[in-house]
Amino acid sequence: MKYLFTAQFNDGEEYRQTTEDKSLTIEGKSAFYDIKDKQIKTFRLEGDGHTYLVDLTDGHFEIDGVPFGVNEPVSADEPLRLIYFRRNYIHHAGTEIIGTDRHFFIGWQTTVNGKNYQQIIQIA
Amino acid sequence: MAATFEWNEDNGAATGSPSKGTTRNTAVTQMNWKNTDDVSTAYSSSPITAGNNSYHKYQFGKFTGTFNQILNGKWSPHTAGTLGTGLTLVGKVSSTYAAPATSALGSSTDYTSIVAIGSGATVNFATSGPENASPTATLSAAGFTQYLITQLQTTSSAAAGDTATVTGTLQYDEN
Repeated sequence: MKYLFTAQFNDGEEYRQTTEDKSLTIEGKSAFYDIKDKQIKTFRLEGDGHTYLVDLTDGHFEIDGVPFGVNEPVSADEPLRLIYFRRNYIHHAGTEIIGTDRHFFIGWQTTVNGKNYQQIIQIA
Repeated sequence: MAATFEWNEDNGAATGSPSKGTTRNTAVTQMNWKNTDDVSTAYSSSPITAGNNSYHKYQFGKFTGTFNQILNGKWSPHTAGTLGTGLTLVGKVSSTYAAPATSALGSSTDYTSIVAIGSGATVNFATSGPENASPTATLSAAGFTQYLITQLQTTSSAAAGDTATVTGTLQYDEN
């Protein structure tokens, strides 16, 4: 796994994903299962000498500590909810699986004027 | 270590309810169109005669390991490479298995030209198998994609020998 995540909760506690990527609570589930329904303050990916962070208190992002926004701030109807997934590409040709790629996506979603609204960044 | 993926392939007569292949091959590492319905025969030993079609190939993905969800499946059997004259690549996503044959694959999409993965066909999932008649958009436990079915169709203009290699791509999200 190129990037491992760390989730910081509103009470200051942190949950760190390990390379095993296993839930501490449910057999067969990944580490994300343990945090997906928690109140998260910040969520960051670390690896390859870089840090990518999304702040769920105000929706801003950071790369290596430098803050930025994807779009203009919005007035959300409800608290921001974490978006995190890895997009996998399995390339196959002829006699072999010729390669796999994986991109990481972090961001947030909420409801604005009754409609789902998202801001997401992609890390290759 | 996140989800583990492997290709599988069904061959042979349809069996069971819902129908699936008599033979389910696991850990399949090749996708070669040829004039026989199996994974073991080298394509060079069972070439397609120009003017005829390959047998349908019923391949699918199998997921194991640890994950919260797998979702947003997409597939294109042609994301890179160029097919030569007289060659047509068709494919479709389906939960219905039929004994592979050389008849033209029905209700299929023409993938002779490159179709970028973002424009690929939607792929759903099921825990019981690719033949599950009610696949869903997300997978929360070990399971399978639907069947990803392809066929190489040829005309008499197709050149003898190996075709150019074309790349196909399966895309899925996980967390």
